[in-house]
Amino acid sequence: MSFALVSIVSFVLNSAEAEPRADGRIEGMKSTLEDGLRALAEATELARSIRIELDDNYLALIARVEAMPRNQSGADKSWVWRMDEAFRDHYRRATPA
Amino acid sequence: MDVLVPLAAALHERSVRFVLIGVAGANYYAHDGSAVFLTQDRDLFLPLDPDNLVQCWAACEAAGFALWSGDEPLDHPRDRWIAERVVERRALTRATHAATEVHIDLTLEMKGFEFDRVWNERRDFKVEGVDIPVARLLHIIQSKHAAGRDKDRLFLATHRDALEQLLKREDRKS
Repeated sequence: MSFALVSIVSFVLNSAEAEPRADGRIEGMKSTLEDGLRALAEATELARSIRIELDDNYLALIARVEAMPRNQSGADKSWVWRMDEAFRDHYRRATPA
Repeated sequence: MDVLVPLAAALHERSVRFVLIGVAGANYYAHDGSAVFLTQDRDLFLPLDPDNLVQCWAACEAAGFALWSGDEPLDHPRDRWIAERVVERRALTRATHAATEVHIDLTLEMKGFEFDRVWNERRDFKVEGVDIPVARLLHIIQSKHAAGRDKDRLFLATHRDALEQLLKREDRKS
């Protein structure tokens, strides 16, 4: 199961067909309150079914990431908020087709 | 500019101890945009220290944030007496930036952790030249696992997957 939170946001909005149009708008976005609430209920059910354990594999992944030179004190992370802002701007501009 | 940057500068000017935790903190360990998680709020973890909290509130106001306690503006005067009551209750205050509607939760609790441990093992990352103290990724993940809310489980599932994909790519490169 490969999905980042952006995908979950898309899932919650039930925008499986979401593809940006030339004007930046997203096709296929469900726009009714009922659709939105149903999608939220489905996402909640999905969350309750997930069981993630902090097993040795996950802890080893975290240890590798923490040990990377780019994740030590002093590293410049200015790009992170720029990426966050770009995501935010993208979804702000999304309107019902 | 991220409103956290001028706020962090104001907090440093007042020698406030704070650590960025939660999803926003985990994002600082991302390799690229594929592992950055969209989040509406930022969580700053603070020690159970009324004087630190008073200075934190002052820094928030200086940086253009309005302070809230629940659904109401935080009482005035925002002095040590109020701070002691907030610390006693381990209550959360929220700083809201009117222009951007960014919310920053000033929390005195991080599930499973005391402040000093998180503070002592933090990373100080730079954003636009300003130090942002960020909790260890391990601590953020362990705390989310301990909290176990629906949103935490969703985050952990996606985060683990993102790390696996990232490290597979790294392994292929090397």
